[in-house]
Amino acid sequence: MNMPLPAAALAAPATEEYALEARNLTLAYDGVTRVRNATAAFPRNRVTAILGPSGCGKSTLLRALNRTLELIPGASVASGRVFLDRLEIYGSSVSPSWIRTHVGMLQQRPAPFPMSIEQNVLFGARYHGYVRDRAADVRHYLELVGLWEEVHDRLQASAYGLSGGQQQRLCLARTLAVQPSVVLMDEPCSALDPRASAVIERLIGTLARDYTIVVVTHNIAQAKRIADHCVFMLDGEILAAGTREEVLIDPRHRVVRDFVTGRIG
Amino acid sequence: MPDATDLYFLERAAAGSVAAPPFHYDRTAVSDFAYRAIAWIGGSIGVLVPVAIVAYLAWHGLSAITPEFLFEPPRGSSLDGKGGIWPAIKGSLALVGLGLVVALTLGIGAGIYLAEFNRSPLVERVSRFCIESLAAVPGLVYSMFGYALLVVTLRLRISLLAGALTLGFVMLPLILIGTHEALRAVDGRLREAAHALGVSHACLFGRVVWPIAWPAICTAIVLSAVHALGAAAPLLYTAATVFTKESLGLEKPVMALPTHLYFVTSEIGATPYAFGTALVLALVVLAVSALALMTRRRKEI
Amino acid sequence: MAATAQSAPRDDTHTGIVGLAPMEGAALADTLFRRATLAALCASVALLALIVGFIVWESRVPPAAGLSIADFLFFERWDPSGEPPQFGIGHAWAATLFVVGLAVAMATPLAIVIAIFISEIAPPAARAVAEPTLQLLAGIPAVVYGFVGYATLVPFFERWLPTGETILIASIVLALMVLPFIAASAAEAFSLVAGDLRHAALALGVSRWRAFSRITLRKAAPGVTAGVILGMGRGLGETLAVLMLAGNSPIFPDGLFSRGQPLTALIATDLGESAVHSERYYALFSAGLLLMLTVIAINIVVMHVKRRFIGAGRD
Repeated sequence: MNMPLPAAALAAPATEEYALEARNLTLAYDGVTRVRNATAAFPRNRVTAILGPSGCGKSTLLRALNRTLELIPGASVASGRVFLDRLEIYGSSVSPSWIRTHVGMLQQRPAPFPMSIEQNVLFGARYHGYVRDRAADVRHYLELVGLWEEVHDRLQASAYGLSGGQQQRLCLARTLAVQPSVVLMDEPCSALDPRASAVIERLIGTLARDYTIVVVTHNIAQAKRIADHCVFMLDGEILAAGTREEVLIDPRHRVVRDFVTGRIG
Repeated sequence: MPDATDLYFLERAAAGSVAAPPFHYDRTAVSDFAYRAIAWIGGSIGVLVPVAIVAYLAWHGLSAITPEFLFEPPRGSSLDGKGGIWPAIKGSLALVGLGLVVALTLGIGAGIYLAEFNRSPLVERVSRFCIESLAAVPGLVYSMFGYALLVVTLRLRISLLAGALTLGFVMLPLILIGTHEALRAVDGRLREAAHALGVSHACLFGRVVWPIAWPAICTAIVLSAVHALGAAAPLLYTAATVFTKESLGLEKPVMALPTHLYFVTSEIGATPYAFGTALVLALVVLAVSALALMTRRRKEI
Repeated sequence: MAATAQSAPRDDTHTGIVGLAPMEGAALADTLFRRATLAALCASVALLALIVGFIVWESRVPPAAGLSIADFLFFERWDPSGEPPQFGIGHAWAATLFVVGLAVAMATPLAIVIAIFISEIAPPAARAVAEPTLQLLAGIPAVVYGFVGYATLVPFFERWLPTGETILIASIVLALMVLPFIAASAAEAFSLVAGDLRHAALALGVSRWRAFSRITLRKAAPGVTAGVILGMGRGLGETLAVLMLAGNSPIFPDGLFSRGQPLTALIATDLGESAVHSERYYALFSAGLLLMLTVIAINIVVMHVKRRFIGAGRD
């Protein structure tokens, strides 16, 4: 939720520092293990980057964090647990739909729905009954992603008329409108041109004050720009995790060092 | 604004216990369950209907299928449900076989031209439009055409020849489209490579393109042939006769399986003889279609 | 032919590679090949013209002197052996529309559900079973459908009704026959909707139904519509099944349980009893012409819908 936790919660022990935690997570597609025994913690209201070469399992791990992995036929969580603020999201009585409203996701390719800009923004929020005042809410979330100035005069126009960068920001506004506390992003800039990417990166920085953000990227420079913490993956395993300094500036693990300095891609 | 469940969750989190909010039966979960259940039911119906039809036919008709049934003509002098269906089988095979001569020559030839030689998009669009319209024309209209052209104008009379030609016309669009698609699917780079080596078009076609496209073309031929095998409407006024004891002759009317089923049902209703006829027709069509589809899939892999 | 080897290099290759003129004998074979296949194409296209031409030639609208077109199409009854003979096909059109409309109305919801199953829900193993089975459903000959309907549904309904051969029975069986066409078109249309969109919707926590109805269905609507129209065209032309099941009485259908005689059944029944080039003959051919033109018109509509909407929707 887009609100500071009540004082009672803040007084709780230090483990509240992590909004999202994965422990010994093993994920498989059709019986083939893609992520093995991954343990990672994502600090609240910070930007954590998940890094690694293509195919190392970053996106798979990300999907497991908001329970969209199970939507892919054949994919499964073989073992391990994921905690959202100490709630086990794969618990037997937990609804995936509820989890997805608390952990949102922005995809790689902008995916605007075939409807107007306004309808796009409020699509999820209306379903869950979060909309109090349509016009005000639309304006709020579009302002949050910096789109209001650009589209306020054509809210009823089709979302397909927007540029790639604008569409991606629209998708972000749509995600924020269901009031998550964590926002996952799967290589959000890789389908955009550099100018649009810069806009998104600035946005990530602004949003991090109120949301926990996890960004999957294979771009080291981008991670250096935006991340507070990093997790490095290779071949389905987590090789290193820690602050930006520990992983990107002065990595101890040999493979991580090679990757970060560009010796391997 | 946090709702009641969020506050509950927060409280529990603050208290340090691992909360398991009772969210499992929210409306989304219920809706999703119903969605999947209905989809599975629909899918099952879609699979069960053809199975049920064949099973039903087999249940009532399997007893009727004996070697005599398959290879003997009907006994008696008219349709009374005794004896066999051999003349109908013979007739159907002859009709389709002869019809294929026309359909293959024109259909494969035209498909080759469209895929290999034609440069003009207009020609392609017009041709495809005409052929697809031909494919959509009802079998009855083919029968009327066959009647008007072959029986009346050319005075062929109701005969095996007229029926075979009509069936050939029915099969033609399907074979043409199948050939065209199969040839189009052959990778353009192969053709370019062969051209660059200077071989003639005919050689390129015969040695490179045809062997690759041949299986798909075969499948299309087989599928259109079984479609024609089961088609009764085109034969109604061109070839089919209710009953004949004569041997096959180009200028004589023939019995055919689908029309035989229709006539028998009209005459004597749903007797085991009729069930047997239906079962034979259905099994032949389905078995051959299934075979053709399976080989096509295996070739694609 | 000999001159061509020395003249400017021809470019009749796909890639525009100039300078490699084919050898003489091969050139002859090529030309023959090309001419022969072109002839085949012309013959095939001519076939359509021939069919249309002959049907037009053998029809007279209106078929009898003194009969107006409106009467022929709508108002007169069909009584060729009466005094005076009457040649109205209104009852047949009505029966056709009734039967086909009902069949498509019954088949479409089930077809969409099956399409959802195939494109979204079914695991790969189930899909590998369902898709071919659907194709086989389309492959069962119409006579067999008619026969099964005759053997099962007719006696079933005859327990309550004076006759089991009714519009309703014919519609039910016809619905089964058009079901695979609509389902296959719809399934293909649903699959074309990018997985990204569905994933994005579900990631917002909405139900599958909401994601389907607001997004997938909206984007796939042209494809589904094309499938439905295709099914209608298929149903319009169906002869044997309706012949065996609809009752074949030349009366104007007045309800689900009345007998009827769709156009195809009318032609199939009466053509054999018509003397060549009699008024009845012309009337039946005119009916056939109407049928053929309608089906071709439907084909045009479907092609147009596919080209305009599905081509555009691919991005």
